[in-house]
Amino acid sequence: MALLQRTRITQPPRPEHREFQEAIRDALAAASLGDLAQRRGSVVIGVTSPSHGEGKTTLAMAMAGLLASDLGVDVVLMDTDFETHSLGVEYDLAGEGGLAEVLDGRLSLESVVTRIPNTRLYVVASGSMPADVGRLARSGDLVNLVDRLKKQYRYVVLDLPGMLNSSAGRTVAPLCDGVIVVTQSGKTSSGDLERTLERLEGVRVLGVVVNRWKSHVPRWLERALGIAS
Amino acid sequence: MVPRKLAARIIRALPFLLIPVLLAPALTMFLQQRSAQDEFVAEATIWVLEPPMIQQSPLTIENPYLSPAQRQSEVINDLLTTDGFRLEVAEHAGLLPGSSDSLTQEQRSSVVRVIGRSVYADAAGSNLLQVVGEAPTEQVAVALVGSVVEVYRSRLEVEAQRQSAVAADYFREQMTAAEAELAERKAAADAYLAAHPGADQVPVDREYALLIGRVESQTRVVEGIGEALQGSHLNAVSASQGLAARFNVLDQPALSEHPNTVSRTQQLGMPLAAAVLGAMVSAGYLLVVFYTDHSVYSREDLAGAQVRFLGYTPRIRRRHGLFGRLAAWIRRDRNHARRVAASLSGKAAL
Repeated sequence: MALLQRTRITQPPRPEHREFQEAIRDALAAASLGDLAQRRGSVVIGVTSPSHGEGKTTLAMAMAGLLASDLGVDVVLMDTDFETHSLGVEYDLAGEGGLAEVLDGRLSLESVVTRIPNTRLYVVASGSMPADVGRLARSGDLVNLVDRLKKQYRYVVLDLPGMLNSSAGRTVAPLCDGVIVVTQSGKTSSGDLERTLERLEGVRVLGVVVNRWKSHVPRWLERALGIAS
Repeated sequence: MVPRKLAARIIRALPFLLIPVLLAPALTMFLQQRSAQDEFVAEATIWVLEPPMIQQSPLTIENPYLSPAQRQSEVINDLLTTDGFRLEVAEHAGLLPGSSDSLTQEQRSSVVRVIGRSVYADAAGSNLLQVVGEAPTEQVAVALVGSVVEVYRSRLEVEAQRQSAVAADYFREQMTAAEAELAERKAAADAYLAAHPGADQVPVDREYALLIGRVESQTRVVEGIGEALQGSHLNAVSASQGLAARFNVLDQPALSEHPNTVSRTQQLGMPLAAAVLGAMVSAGYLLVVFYTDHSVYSREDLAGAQVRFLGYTPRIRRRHGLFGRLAAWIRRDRNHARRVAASLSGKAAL
């Protein structure tokens, strides 16, 4: 309920939020997730970025929320970034256990899946910081857990760690049917993106979303200079 | 086509890029204003003929197409490059505290430098010469021009007298020799007549006629030399009067009531040049920043990554006006975007 109070989801989105919402829808459409879902039944989507703070968690939340609300299907959003555990913080699930506890066998999967009230979105926090992140990520339990989620939910959205910050991202990404890479406009360097894509070799990269984008060039100047949109 | 990143960089950094473009001319104008001082100009116009010191000589190369005024201006400007002439001008104008000999080396250098910058001569026509002086006060400008004219005129006079004296000395020597020769020839004719009485009677003795002819020709030589000598004496005596025709000051330097006005072109030239320099600095900065910026700004920057572009997601900010945004920045309110993202799952929000 704390989340509902904080986010005021009953309020209509402001115009600038609607723009964000439409941008997420466009990105999901461009990623051809519908085709994937038709072929595979359920889809595991990873959202990652080269480093922390470029907006991957925000976009993962938005994508999962829109998939759930627009398509009317069950969507689970799972935080696999054990270092930041941002989802737990955002959804007020910190301290309630999460993925780490499930992989350790201390909690059951059902006990850590939280449904967001009045929606078809489910959230799994990363849980407490495990001692050996790499071992957890590489364990077969994680593969089994993702398979279980795929059976229960139409879309499984994984909030992956930053590919250049954690080796866990490289391990978890192959579990996804497709990975969306998030870059921050004007911050993420081409070199970091290149290294990220190298680390995702063998994984289906659905595409790149340029986040926090703002066109500083007025429309009339874009037309005058022939700048492509 | 202009890269979007470059266009965006220009727009974003426009205020910063404009700083050198505006600051450099402003600074230049400030410095111009600060260093500007009133400058008075005095001019003298002089009717001139060929200067006496220029003589046609096979050892010197003279431009036959130069007018007398151009020759005179060349001579004056050449003299004005010498320290001696400058000091003499300064002394004559009363600009030195004492005589030029009592000055220290530093004072001499200073005076020489100021005079060199302040006065020059220029041809205003075939025979019209202008001597122009610029100085912080009208009195000094007039004094400088008058001094240059006077010192130059006195030099011309001295030179004319010197040349006349040299000519007189030369003709005097020639006269002595010619008179001696004449005396010899007269003596030879007299001796022949004494030895041959009646040789001067008609019909005149042929030998005697020859001797008399030599005496007469030598007499003409002596007379010619005498005329030249008189001419030299006349030149020496009338050097100043002759100079009046050769170097006739038509318009004396006059006091100008207003300082010299600087033209708009001169006023704006330096600030415009500074603005161009500032623009070049800005452009250089822009190019360095652009070529060292390897960040992903737009889809153009993904062209080499061989990966599909899914789209842009806009920056989400609180829109509560300037103070609201400032407060959000102070509070480090970075989770606003996530709360917006979380709200998208609610059906009511759609």
